[in-house]
Amino acid sequence: MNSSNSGAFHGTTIIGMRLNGKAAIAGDGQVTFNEMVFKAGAKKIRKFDDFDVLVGFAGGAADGLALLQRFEEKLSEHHGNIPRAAVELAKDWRTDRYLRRLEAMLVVVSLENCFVISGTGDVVEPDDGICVIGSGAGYALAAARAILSSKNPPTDPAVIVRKSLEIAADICIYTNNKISVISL
Amino acid sequence: MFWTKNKGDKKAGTTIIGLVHSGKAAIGTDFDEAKKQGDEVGLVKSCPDFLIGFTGLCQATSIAENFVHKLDTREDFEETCREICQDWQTDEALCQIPGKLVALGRDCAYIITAGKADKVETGIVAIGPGEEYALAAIRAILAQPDVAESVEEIVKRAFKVAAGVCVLVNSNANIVSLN
Repeated sequence: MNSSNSGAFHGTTIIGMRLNGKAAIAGDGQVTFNEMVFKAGAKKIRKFDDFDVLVGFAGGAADGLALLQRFEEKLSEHHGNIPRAAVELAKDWRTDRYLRRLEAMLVVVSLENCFVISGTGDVVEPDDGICVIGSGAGYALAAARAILSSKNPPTDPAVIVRKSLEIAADICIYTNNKISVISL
Repeated sequence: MFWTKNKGDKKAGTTIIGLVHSGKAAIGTDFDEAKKQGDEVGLVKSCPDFLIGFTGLCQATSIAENFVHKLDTREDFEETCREICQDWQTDEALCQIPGKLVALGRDCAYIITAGKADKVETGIVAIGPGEEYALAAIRAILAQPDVAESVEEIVKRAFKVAAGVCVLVNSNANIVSLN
């Protein structure tokens, strides 16, 4: 994620959004290794069917998957209570000294909540229901907010996240146009 | 950190956003005399056929005025933009001055620095700390199916979005337009 860890896989944009009782998440497909495009069609977003939760990760692939798995474990432990699972996951990082910092971030979106969770133990719930992570996060966020501020914004979050990610892909070199979208 | 932005390249200062769209142009700056940081200034100026924006050291404002004068007296807009960038690089007094100049005509947009005059094909120019966010916002607005707003309103909205994302941008922008 951070461009200072050269040698690590980095760069991605994930945007999740909660709007009008619907939720959607979108992710691009590019895996970048230093200056090389390693893969163009990666899937970085998932749906946890058991809990009606959409998740996406950015950063190191192994770390991202580890973080996803831990989050899923916490979810089953807390019977699908997302805020609880997110906080418990972050708490583990503080208390368990054997857990290393994971160089990845998660976006978690459900119909009621949305969170950004980092492998360093931060949990953030955005005010406006737009969660963004990755190298093109700022662009996607600005685009989504611009779309929402127009007179007749689309009511379906899936449309907005796709459009925002397309714009981020046009600007950010670490994000490509192979966009996948999942909605609830 | 929320997302990856190298702290090292953080550009404090003024943001200028300009847009040329279907024969119309608007440009705005968030420069506020009361809140300015350091010596940097931003100014926008409207001339009969083009718009000018400038960010740089305040000693350099006279340079911007010179550029405006030069553009005012020449016929060919694009030619003059290229001339200005050459002067900026070769003239002994001018080349000391850091800054960026934005020039918008009715159908073209230029970002000019010392020795470089970039024509911006999309017509969206943004410089300063909020540039990326402004760029993304304007692209998103223009991609909407029914854009009924004037270019001035679009620039205003871009400032609002950029100010919401970036702490260095001030949402009170001074906007001038060319109709």
